[in-house]
Amino acid sequence: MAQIYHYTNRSSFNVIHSQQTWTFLASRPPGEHPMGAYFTNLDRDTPLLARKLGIPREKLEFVLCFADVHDLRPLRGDRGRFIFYSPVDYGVEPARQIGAGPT
Amino acid sequence: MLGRQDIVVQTHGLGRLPALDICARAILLHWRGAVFQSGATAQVYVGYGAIPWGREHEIFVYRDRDALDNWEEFEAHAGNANTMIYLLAYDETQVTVVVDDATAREMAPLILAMQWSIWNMSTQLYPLEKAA
Repeated sequence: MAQIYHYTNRSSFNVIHSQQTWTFLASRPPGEHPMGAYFTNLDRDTPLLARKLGIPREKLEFVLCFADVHDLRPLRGDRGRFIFYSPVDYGVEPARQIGAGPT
Repeated sequence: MLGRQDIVVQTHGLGRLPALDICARAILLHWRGAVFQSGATAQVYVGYGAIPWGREHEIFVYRDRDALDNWEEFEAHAGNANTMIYLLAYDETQVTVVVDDATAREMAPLILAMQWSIWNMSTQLYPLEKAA
């Protein structure tokens, strides 16, 4: 089963992880990207992961991992091979949650 | 969990590898000391000639060695904005150019150079293909 990852900092991790159903809030990212909750299928061992996602190092400190059910949209362009989003808040129920913690 | 800006550039029939190559050369016209890095392995290529184009789908291009060193030490931060371009080419019809700010004074001419170079090369090849 394919896995999806959400990388974030400690404060956001604590908020999401404290919920029984993880809820990832849709927001407006920089760079004219669509509003959404963003995810990747790249694991933490991927070379140059922060640069590929375009995020600062502190946003890679924690990760939440869950099973993919193929309901996320790919980002426009070639980063859509590994960056996906939900245009609205995205919930992950416990049955899909695989793991969470520091990277 | 997402940053930077994605610009999708059509290859106009050139194919992904020639288009990726043209983008790199267009960047070199502006960043004479550019340093390249494999997106797959993080290997740093010293000089344009060292890039194994047939193997690469993703290339990071840094303005110079100092920019690479800064990214290696700190990753993305305000101080190194617009000093690195991330090129991806998995599709024969398009190249994706990822930058911090496409409208920035130092970045806009590079993006235009890439788009113009691909367009210009495709219009030169087209009559040759038609004649063949």
